[in-house]
Amino acid sequence: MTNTEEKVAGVDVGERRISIPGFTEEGEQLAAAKVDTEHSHGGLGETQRKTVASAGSRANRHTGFDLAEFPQPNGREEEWRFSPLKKLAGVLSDEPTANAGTEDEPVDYQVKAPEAVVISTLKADQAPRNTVLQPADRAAVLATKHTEDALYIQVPADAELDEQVKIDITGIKAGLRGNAHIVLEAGVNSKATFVLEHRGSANFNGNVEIKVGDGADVKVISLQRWNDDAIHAGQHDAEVGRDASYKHVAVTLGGEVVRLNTNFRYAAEGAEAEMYGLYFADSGQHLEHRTFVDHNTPNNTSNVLYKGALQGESARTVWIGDVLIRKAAEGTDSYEKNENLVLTDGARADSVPNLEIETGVIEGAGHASSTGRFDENHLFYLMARGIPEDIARQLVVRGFLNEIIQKIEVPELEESLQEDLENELKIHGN
Amino acid sequence: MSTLEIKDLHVSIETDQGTKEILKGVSLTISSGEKHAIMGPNGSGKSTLASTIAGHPRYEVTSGSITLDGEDVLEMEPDERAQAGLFLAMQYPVEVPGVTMTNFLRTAKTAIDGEAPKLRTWTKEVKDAMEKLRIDADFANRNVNEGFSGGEKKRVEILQLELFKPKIAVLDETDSGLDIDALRVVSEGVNRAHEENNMGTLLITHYTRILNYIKPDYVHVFVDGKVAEQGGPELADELEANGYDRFLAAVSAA
Amino acid sequence: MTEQIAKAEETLRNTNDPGVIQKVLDDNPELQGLGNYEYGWADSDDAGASAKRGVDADVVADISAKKDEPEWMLKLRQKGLKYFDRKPMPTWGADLSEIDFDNIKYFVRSTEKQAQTWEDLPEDIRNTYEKLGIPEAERERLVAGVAAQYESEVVYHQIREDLEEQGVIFMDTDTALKEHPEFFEEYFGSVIPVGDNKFAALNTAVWSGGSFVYVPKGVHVEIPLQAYFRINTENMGQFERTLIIADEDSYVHYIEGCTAPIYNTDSLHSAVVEIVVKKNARVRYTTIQNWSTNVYNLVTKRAVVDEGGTMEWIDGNIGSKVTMKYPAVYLTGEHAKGETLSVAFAGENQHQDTGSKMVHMAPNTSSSIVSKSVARSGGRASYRGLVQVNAEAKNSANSVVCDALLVDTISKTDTYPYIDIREDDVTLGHEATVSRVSEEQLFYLMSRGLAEDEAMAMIVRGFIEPIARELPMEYALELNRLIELQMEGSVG
Repeated sequence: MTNTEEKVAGVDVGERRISIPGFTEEGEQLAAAKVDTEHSHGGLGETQRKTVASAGSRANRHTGFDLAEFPQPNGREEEWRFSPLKKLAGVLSDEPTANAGTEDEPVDYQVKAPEAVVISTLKADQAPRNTVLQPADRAAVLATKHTEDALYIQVPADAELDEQVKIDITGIKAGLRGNAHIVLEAGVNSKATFVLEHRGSANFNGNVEIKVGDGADVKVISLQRWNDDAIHAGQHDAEVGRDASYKHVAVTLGGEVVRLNTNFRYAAEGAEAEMYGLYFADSGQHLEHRTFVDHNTPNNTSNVLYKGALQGESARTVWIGDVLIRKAAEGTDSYEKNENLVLTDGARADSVPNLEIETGVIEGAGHASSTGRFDENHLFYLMARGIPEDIARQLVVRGFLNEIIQKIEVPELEESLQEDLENELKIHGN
Repeated sequence: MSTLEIKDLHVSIETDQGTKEILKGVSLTISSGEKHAIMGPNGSGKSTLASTIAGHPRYEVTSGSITLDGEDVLEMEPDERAQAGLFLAMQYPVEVPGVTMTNFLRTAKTAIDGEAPKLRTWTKEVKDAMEKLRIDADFANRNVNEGFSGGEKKRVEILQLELFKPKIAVLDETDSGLDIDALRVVSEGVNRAHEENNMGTLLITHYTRILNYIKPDYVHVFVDGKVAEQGGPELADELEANGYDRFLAAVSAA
Repeated sequence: MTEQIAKAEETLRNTNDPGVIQKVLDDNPELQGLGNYEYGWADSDDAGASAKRGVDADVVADISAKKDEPEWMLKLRQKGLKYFDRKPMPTWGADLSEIDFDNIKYFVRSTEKQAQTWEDLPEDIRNTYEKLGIPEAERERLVAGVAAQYESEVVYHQIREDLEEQGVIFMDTDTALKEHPEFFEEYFGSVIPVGDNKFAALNTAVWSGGSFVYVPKGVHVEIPLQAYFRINTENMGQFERTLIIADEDSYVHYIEGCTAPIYNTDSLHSAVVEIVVKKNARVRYTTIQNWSTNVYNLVTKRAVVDEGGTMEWIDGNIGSKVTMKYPAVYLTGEHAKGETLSVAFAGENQHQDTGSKMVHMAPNTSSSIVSKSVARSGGRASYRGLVQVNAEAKNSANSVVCDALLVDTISKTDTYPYIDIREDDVTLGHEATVSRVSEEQLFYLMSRGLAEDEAMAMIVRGFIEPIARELPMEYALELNRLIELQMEGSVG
């Protein structure tokens, strides 16, 4: 920062006047001065905020399929201001899947499903493709644009699957672009669990749209177990039918940058929809989750809970939770919560629970966000029972995150995730 | 045979208004097989004594000593105290989200004994102890204290008391918030631990009600951070009849 | 505009009789920005009618010359104008697109010299403040000092002799700049830099009036200092500038109240308040903002708090068309504390976009924000806050609690709590609830004999009670009265 001395009749009128460290003549530079310059952080009424576009109501956020309407972000946009754009360049360029149609495609897809499930593909104009998912940012438009044949997995009406549908998405090579669009449809009164498992390395741009039929009971579990050099941008949109039940669980442990938008809206009334998330960021990782609950119809229930742990000098997490209760959505019951546990110096967690309510006729709405270290009382209680401090800490972290793992309800997955967490904790010898 | 010896203990806490002395010279000796009751009005420092014995970081010992069989307890971390054989049944047991009772009990037992309990006998032991305390079997899968009622939390504290088999236990207002059935069940648990493990007990209470179930050998009246009077069970009867007025008057006169 | 309305306006301008005003308003509902706005009379507008509209270098130079200011202040004003021109309008928060900067009168001088006694004041201005109850407050010694700003300049100020003897300075900012230049050379624009944001820049360019307070080391001003701000001229912009310096170990409570008449076109209030809280000092700043519902209220308030100091903002936003105001506290010294209690009431056609900002820059700092908002008749109440904890601010703690109450089915409420943490050794919590007045509550109170709107007002009062109880008695009463006025006719 330059220190321009400017005196008029012996009085400073330049930057020397400033008494708050980090300020310049143009106000606060605190945020920009300390972190990488890719995101400028708007304060309240301070200078940098001026350039933030569309920071207004979620209801006015643009969606659509026309790439021209989603220019390259510059980092000052509300929806990009927390994201490392340089590292995301590989998924924001207008680029088809590398080596498309050859054996060297950078991402491999394997689907394992019970017999009742029908697997096919959909072109852009074939419903239900593009009826549920409305791209909300550049990455999502690109994923759809560059996916000619979307993988279409259909669970027939009334089918109750006793086994989950597994979709293994494996990146072959870091830095190579892969685009994907997956359509999941659960028929009326069906019951199904979809598990999307991301592994390996790639620049992966993946959309998932989920149509939940009336009375259906659907779980979508998305596991991000990428290698350390993978980049992943994705949008998961669901439309939840009448009296249906929908649960989305995102677990993000791997990847250099993961930026997931998970959203749902309702087709009718009487539905119950939930989103859960767990993330564990180490040094060098940027894990970003954005959730949007759109209460567009009356008498539905929603619940969002995301929990994260951070350890390591440059570990970084972002959670943005938008809930919009539209005018029509009378009788809504909604809650969202984000909790972060910061384990070491230098890690940074951003948490923004936004709540917009356009009708007063609601059952209830609330949100909460907390970020902190261990609760000293937890530690004391456990230590007073003879458990040494390091183990007590591990217990608390595991317990903190377990709440989400318990929501998965697929025992073998829960176990393997427990193991992963154990390893994450061990890496740092906690 | 074990002995917990507290000598001239002074304890302070940091408050917004500065340092405040809560315990002003407490001396007590509790040996295996003995039951001591500490009674006193609210704010007299009873719970501070309990938390200090267990090593809560909020309380600072400014002078005096606590030893267990000659070992300096004040030098120990809270977990080391538990491993040495001290147990505090807390007045407000803490909820630990996401940690199941099963996991917690096994981890603590392993830490206290220095080796993992044998799986089959341990499971049975936990199950039996839960039955005796009339704790539902599904509590084992719930998170520690999370969503438990006040009475349920207290029973779970006593469950740990029975399973961990401490040498000396401090029960901090374990009777508060219990209905009469729960009080009986909890008292039976404490009495069992006495008989089976020859435990020494320091029972902190505001009311004499629990003393009908757990008969104390010694009663100490706590007023203003000090033991104001000591005696046998008959002292409890007198308090039942006359309350704490006699002691409080003495303090305000002083 | 129809002839009838023009005539009604004319009538309004020439009367002080509340009965007449009410009649005119009843006959001409278009004029009713807010049905029950009590301070909606307009005094005759001799001073304002002739004032120049729009802002440019000449206007800035003219203001500075009229005030006979030092050169450096003119230089700062020019800089402010430059930043104001350069900065775009904020695109977040409330809708500001209807502000017409070229139609605003930036400086209106209502009287030639400042009065030392009420009797010295021109009669029309005296009437105004008598209606607002200021002389009584002073006579009854409810206040330690009073300042009254009418249009662009402070027309009256008084401070108790005993405080003056102790070295407390309380005067209008223009006079203070002349009499105590050393404070201005050091602190003016140091907490809110000249180009901080578009409206702070505008204020720096055209500021006039406001209060200057200095409390010397160790002095406790036990009863509050008060300031009253009134806009009378149509399309007037009020740009007062307040600077408060609380030296080590001192204490002061400053209260401001704001009113304006109801005109058909909008006015702009854009103040800048800078507060310097030195070591172990404590400052409490209370605002009861009750502008009429055609005032854009865009205010920048910020305090910097040194070691062990405490800053408390108590911010009541009842009036205005649009308010965007986020009192900030920069905790720069260890153990510094910041606290904001905010209550916002958004009625018909009102948007209250308020909140607070806490920046932890040193270890062991703590802050809390409690925000309560009520929306009715289609009004919109938004909480927008930022809590930032810098990397070196170890062992800091913050809590944010926002509660919103929706009184009917057409109103809106939003919560935007930004949290930004660069340090792991912190404890932060945010909680928000949105509730609606329940039918059971209403039924219970009505079955005890209360009318529906009384019952509703009682529930609302209960809701904001935690904040009202932090106010001095007469302000708490005032707040309750304003809320009752707001709630009248809310049912039906």
